[in-house]
Amino acid sequence: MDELLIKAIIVSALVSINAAVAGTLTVFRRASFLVAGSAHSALAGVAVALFLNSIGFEVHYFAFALLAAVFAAFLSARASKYGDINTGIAIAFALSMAVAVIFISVTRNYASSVWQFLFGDVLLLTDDDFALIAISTAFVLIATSFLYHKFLFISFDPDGAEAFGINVHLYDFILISLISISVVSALKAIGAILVFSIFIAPSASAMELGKSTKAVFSISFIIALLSMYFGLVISYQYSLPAGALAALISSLTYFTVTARKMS
Amino acid sequence: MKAVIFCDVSFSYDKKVLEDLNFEIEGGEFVAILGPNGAGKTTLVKLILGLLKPEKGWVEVFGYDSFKERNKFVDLIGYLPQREEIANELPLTVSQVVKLPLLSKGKKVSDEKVVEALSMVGMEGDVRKRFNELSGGQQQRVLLARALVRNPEMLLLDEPFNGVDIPSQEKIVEVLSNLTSKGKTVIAVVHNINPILHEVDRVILLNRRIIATGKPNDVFTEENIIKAYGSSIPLVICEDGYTHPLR
Repeated sequence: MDELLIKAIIVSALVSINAAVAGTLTVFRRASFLVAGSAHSALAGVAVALFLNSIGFEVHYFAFALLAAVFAAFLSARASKYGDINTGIAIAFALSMAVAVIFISVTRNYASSVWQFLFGDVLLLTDDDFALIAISTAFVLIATSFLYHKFLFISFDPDGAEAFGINVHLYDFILISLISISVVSALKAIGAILVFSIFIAPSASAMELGKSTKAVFSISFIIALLSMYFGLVISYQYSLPAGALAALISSLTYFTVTARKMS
Repeated sequence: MKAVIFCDVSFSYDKKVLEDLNFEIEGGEFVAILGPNGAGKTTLVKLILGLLKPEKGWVEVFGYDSFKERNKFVDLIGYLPQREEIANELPLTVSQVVKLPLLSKGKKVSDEKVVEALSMVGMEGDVRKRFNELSGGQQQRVLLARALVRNPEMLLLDEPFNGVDIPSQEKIVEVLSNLTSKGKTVIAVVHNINPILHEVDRVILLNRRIIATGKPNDVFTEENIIKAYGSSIPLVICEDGYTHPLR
């Protein structure tokens, strides 16, 4: 089999793990918008990295994207002390997009690079990108397994968790940061605009279908993985963009699940 | 030993919420804190839990400064939050809900301990059920079991009877009475005191300041009610001689 295709199959599985873990925790925390916020904040970091590269500094997009996403997460978590967490995320989202647009506008020959970060392409990943996704996935899985009960507690009952001595704002920030790492690691594979549908639609569907927390994680992983794989297969057959097809399948799955629930 | 001491405590958000509070709660007492909406009841709970710093004065819990030394007493308190604040859509089992606080601190909880806590509130048969499929009253009993699983010295309840059916109310009252008979301190913040009026040792009537404190019959006078609520509330004396505010 084509090496690129094998790599794409493995990356799809890794992205699906990230989607199941980060997406489900985001849905549990009632902050679905966070994924879009992180992805677009990361885009601001990417834009800065591309600009620096264009003027002769050799920098890697990942560090800048992660820094921007975590910084936006920090701003959002701080703002959540004074109101709804989604408000902070939305404003960080707008701020990041403003920064991204400004830096893209002053960067020469940016079009193709920006396109990949906006819409992604699982078939165009370098060995570096592949390694980054693998390492990030392992890190997110290990960190989540250690902090899982804290994340669950602050999502289920933040007041109770705080009363019990859990620093809710600290663990909120750690949770948001881990979600940001997941999102940034998947950025080049599925793109800032489509990442929401791969991370949130499967978890939101799984919330409707799953009878337990374990079931929600598992169903979410299966939906994300099948969306990615069907996207790849159709893309291979008809030369259509794999990320967009995966996003289309996972989004349609969500609407089908909710429509069935309503009927 | 004093369970709680409030000494000249004031607290503001944008405007003054609590002003010059002075009171003490003895260990083993069952105290109800009552007042209208916006009286500062939940703020008072947060001050006891050490989640807020008094703007003036200080709060002591089991001899520790509640804000500066909360780590020293946090394990002595069982807390029942307002059920409305809970994310009910999470597919947690009853067992998971009871275990979650201890697991989140890296402590193991045996299934026997979970069943023991649930049996105190009459829910031992529902350990595998999904929490969000239970009635409001059953959910409140599970949350009470969660607060009791660590065998705390003091139980702090924020509106424990909101949306709770009569059988569950009666079970919760029975559990609270049993706890005080074992020397545990119980503080319940309520807007309707009637479910626990016969059981409490003392009532604190609050509306930003302490309007009155003492035995229910001494607190529930026409004058105090008007001071707290701004208008008169019918007061009814039951067969056992307790004055009940009909609110």
